[in-house]
Amino acid sequence: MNCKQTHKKIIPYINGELNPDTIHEIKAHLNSCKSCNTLYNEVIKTMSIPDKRKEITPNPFLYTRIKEQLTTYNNGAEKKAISVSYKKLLQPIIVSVMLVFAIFSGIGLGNAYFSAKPKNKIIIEKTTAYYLNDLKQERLEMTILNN
Amino acid sequence: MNDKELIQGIINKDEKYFKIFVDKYQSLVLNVCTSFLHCKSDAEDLTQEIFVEVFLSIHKFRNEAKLSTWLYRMAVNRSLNFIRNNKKRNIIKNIGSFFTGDDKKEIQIADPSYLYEDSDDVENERIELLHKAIDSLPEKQKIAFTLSKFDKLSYAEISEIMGITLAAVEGLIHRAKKNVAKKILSHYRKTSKKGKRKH
Ligand SMILES: [Zn+2]
Repeated sequence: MNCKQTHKKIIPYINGELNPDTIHEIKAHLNSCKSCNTLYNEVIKTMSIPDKRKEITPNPFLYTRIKEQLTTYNNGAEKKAISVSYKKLLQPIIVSVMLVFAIFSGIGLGNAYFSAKPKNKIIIEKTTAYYLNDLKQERLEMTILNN
Repeated sequence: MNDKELIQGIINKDEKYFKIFVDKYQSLVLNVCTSFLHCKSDAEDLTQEIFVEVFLSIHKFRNEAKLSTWLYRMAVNRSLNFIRNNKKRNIIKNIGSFFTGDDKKEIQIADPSYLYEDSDDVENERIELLHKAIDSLPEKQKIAFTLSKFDKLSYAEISEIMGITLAAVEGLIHRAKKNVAKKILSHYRKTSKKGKRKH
């Protein structure tokens, strides 16, 4: 068996999927070929790394951190709840207050207009009367001419 | 105190029960997250998030499954999500650096010695190679292989966590082993060829 053939059989060899004859051939090649032997050993060493896995000890402050995050979350949720209740409760109240204000100020303005109307009319009437009273103007001209 | 009492205590928002719960299961969650993420600080952050989520969603827990099975599932799913999001972030980062012409790549030097017994520089290279080979596996193979090899769970436990048959677990681990070994072999073949060319 040559190097290329051995490379192709290394994985089935590791997984124990080969027949005894092929196993014997590969063993013989690995014993005589340094580079294939190194390759085989590297694959074995890399594949067996998980066996060296250590158990990780949790950080002693993990619980404190979780508590902190939960407090931040709860504060956020409270703020959210407040803003939601603001939207749900305060907003309609404010809108209806503004509506009532708008209606009453409308009525008020309307009343003010109607109560002011006659006065304005008199003023207008007076001024128009003054400017359109030709007689009065003629009289004035006449008095100037006469003088 | 059994798990049922613990769960009821947490549902009632009793801090004492939650503290006992965290003390009991923090190692499980942290170790599973580390197995998938290969990074202690990321795994610690994720563990913290998982426990916060557990506290907020414990009422969703159905007593049909074991509490540990539920936690394993949660740890696996959150870890895979974390990896997916990280990949997306890296793609966006790479696209960004492509357009800005900023070629400085962040070199993350991972020191896996905290995770493995007597590791040196040569061993660290092997560790990195193995992690890369595992990360390239299809998701289901990755889950089964990682839980079996790193967290030392039995096939029965894995089948419960993944919700698949024992035979399916066996198949996944067998294929995963082959794929990982192939990656590792092709890496060493390439490096030995390069070495030969140099000489
Ligand atoms: Zn050879």
